[in-house]
Amino acid sequence: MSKDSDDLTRLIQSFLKFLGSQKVAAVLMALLLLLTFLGTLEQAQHGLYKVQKTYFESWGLIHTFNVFSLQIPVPLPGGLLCMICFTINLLVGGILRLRVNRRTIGIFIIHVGIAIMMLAGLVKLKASDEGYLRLWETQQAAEYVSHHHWELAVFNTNPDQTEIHEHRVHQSRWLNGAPLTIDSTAETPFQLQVRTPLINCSPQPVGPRWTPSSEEVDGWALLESQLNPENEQNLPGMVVEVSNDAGLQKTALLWGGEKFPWTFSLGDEIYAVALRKVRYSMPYSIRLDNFEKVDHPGIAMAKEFRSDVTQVKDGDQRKIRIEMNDPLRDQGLILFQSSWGPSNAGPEDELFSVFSVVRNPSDQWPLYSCIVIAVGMAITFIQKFLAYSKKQANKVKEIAR
Amino acid sequence: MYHGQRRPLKISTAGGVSIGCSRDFLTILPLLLICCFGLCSCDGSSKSDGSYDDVRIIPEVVHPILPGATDARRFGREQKPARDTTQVAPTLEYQLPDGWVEIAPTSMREINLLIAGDRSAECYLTVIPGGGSLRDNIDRWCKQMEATPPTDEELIALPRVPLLGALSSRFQVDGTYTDSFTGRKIEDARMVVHLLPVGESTLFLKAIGPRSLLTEQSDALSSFTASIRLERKAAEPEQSPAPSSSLSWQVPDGWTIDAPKPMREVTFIAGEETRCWITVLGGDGGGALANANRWRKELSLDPLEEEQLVQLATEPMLGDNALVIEGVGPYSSMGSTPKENWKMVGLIRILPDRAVFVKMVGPIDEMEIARPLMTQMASSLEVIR
Repeated sequence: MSKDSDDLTRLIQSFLKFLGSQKVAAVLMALLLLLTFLGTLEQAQHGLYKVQKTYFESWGLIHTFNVFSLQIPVPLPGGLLCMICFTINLLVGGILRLRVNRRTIGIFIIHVGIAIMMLAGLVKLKASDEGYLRLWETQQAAEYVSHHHWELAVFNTNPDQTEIHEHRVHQSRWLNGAPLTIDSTAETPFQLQVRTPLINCSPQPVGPRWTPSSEEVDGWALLESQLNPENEQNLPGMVVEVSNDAGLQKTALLWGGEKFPWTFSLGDEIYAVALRKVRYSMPYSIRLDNFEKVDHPGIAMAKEFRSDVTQVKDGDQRKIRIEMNDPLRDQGLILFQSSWGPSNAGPEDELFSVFSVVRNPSDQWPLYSCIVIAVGMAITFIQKFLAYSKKQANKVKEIAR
Repeated sequence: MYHGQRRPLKISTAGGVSIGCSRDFLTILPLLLICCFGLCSCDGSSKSDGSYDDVRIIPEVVHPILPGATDARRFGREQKPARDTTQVAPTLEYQLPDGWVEIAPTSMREINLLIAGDRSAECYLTVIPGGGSLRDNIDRWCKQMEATPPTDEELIALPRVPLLGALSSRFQVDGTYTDSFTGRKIEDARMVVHLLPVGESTLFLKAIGPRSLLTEQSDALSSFTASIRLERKAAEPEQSPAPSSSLSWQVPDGWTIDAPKPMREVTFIAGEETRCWITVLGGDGGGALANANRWRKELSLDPLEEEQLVQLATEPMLGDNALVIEGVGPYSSMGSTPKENWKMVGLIRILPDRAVFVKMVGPIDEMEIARPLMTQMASSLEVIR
C-alpha cells in the first residue's frame, strides 16, 4: 500500500514537474507565436472575425500549409488551449512550485502579475461584450448594438404600455440549425418555433425564375449565400411560427436586413418578432450635442474627430468630450470615439458619430497586472544589483588584501 | 519566465513554513483545471429549455413598427410604383436673387447658393430626419457663433416667417462663426436660419456670412425665402430610356442565384468562386469594343482593335449571335486584389434598344465545368414583353 502510494506520488511529481517545466513553456510560446503568424496571414483571406474564432478562440484547428503545389493539412492546438496550458504552466512552475523566500519574492510577484494578466484576458473573453452606438447630433440613446451577435426579440407593441418587455433568445440557441421551440409565457401567450435558420441569406420572391430549396412562406423564401469573411456583412434568416391552443398559427420569414419586425395580432394586442443584432442597455443615456471632424489640409482624410456629448442619468446631465484616445469610462462601460459617417458625406454635410462601446469587467486588470509585474521586476533587479555590488565589493577587498 | 528553483511537492510561506504537500497540490490542480476548462467551455446562453433567455425592459419600442407590412415592404423589396411619364416628383423652385450664384447641391443640401457670389457667404436648404428640437439647434448655432443662447422667452418670441406655405421660425444671431469642419472663421458674422418641421423631418434654410454682406442682402434673402416653392413639372423625354422589360432565363443544374447586386439583372453562383451575371444597359451600353477591352483590361490583356471584333467567336443568344470575349490572366476588377490564373468569358449582344452582357469569371478549373452551362443559360435567355 505504502509502495503504491509512493509510486503514485512519484508519478504525480513527474507529471507536475513536466507541467510546470520551462520546456513546456517554451513549446507553448512557440505555438502561440506560430498561431499569431498563421492567423495574421489567414486574416487577409478569411477576415478578422473568422480567424479570431478559428485560431485564437478555439481548442484546436487544422491549418493547411501550401508547399509548392502540395496542400498539407496540419492539426494545431488552438489559441485558447495554448493559453490555458500556458496559464497552468505558469501557475504550477512559477507560483505553486516556487519556494517563496526573500530571494525569490520578486520572481513570485512577477508571476502573480502575469497570472492576473491571463485572468484579465479570460474574463474579457467570457464576460465582456462590445458593440457600437451611432448618433446624429441631438440624438439620444441608451443602448448599444453588438457587432457580430444576433438575437430574436419578441414584444408587445401596445403604445399604451409604460414600458416594453423584450423577450429575447440569443443566436447560440438557434444558429446551430436545430429547430427551437420557446414556450408561451404570461406576456407572450403563444409558442414560438424557430426552424431552418441560415447564417447568411437573402429573401427572394418565389417565382418561375427560382424554385427554392428552403421553406416557402407567403411567396417568399430564403436564398442561402456564401459566408462573407467580414462577419458583420452576414445577414441571417429563419422561419418562425407562432401558435397557441386558441387556434393561432402564423408563419413568417425573418431576415437580419429587414426594415420592420414581423407583426401579428392576437386578440387586441399586436406582437412583434424582430431578428436583430443583440442590443445592450446602458445604465445611462448619451446625447450627441456636437460632432467635429477636422481633415488634413487639402485631402478628405480625417485628422481628428471628437464628440461633445451629454450623459443623462436619472435627470442629471453631465457634459463630456469623447475623442480619440480619450474615452468615457463610467459604470463598467467604455465609450471610444471610433468612427463617423456617412462615408460619402461632403465637406458641409451633417455627420453622425460612431462610438465603440465595451463592457469589460476586467478593463483595469492589465494595468494592475503591469504594476504588480513592475514591482516584482524592481525587487528582482534591486536584489541582483545589490548582490552584484556586494560581490564586486568583496572582490575589491580581496584584491586589497 | 522563471522556472528555476524547484521543490518537489511542497508549498511554503515566505517565512519558510511548509503548509502543504502532494495532497494539497493534488487538490488544487484538478480545481485549477476544472475552473480553466469550465470557464472556457461555456459560451453565450446557458438556457437549454423552452424559455426565453431574458427579458429586457426598456421605456419605449426601439424599432419602427408597421403592423401588417407586407414581406416585400419588410424586406425593402417593394417595387417602385410605375412611373408616370407625364409627371415627376415635385422639385424645389425659387427665384434666384440678382448676383447670387447656384453651386452644386450636396447629398444633404437641396439648395446650395453663394450669397451675392461671395464665397464666404452661403445660403443652403437641408431637410434632416428628426432634426432635433428648436432649443437644441439654436444652442448649437449659438455655440458656433460664440454667442449667448436666447432665453426661453426670446425663443418663444422668435418671428414666424412664411416658408413653403407654412410658418417657419426665423432665428438670427451675430458673432464669430467657426466652421466645425474646416476650422474657417468669420469675424463679425451673421447667421440667419429658418426652421420648419415637416412631418418627421425638419427643414433648415440657413444663410451665413459676413454681417455687413448679410445686412446688405437682407431684402434679397427675404424675397428668396418667400420665393421657394414646390413645383411639379412634366417629365422630359429621357435621352437613353432604360428598357422597361427584363429578361427571363433558365438556371442551369447546380447553379444557384446569389443575392441581388446593383446594376445586375441576376448573379449566379456557378462554382465555389465562380460567378456569372447578366447586365442590361440602355442603348448600346457603351459599345461592344469598349466593353470587351474593359473586360480584357481586368485580366491585364492588351486591348483589341475594332477590326479584331469581327474575328471573335460567337454564340447564340437572344435570337442572334453574341460576341464571345474570353481570356485568362490575373483577374482584378475595380481595384480588387488580382486573382491569379482566373478565366473570364463574356457575351455581348447589342439589341436595338439595349445591350445585354453575360459575364462569368472564376478559377480556370471551375470555369471549365461551368462554361457549357453558361452557354446553356445564355441560349435560354428571352426578353419578357
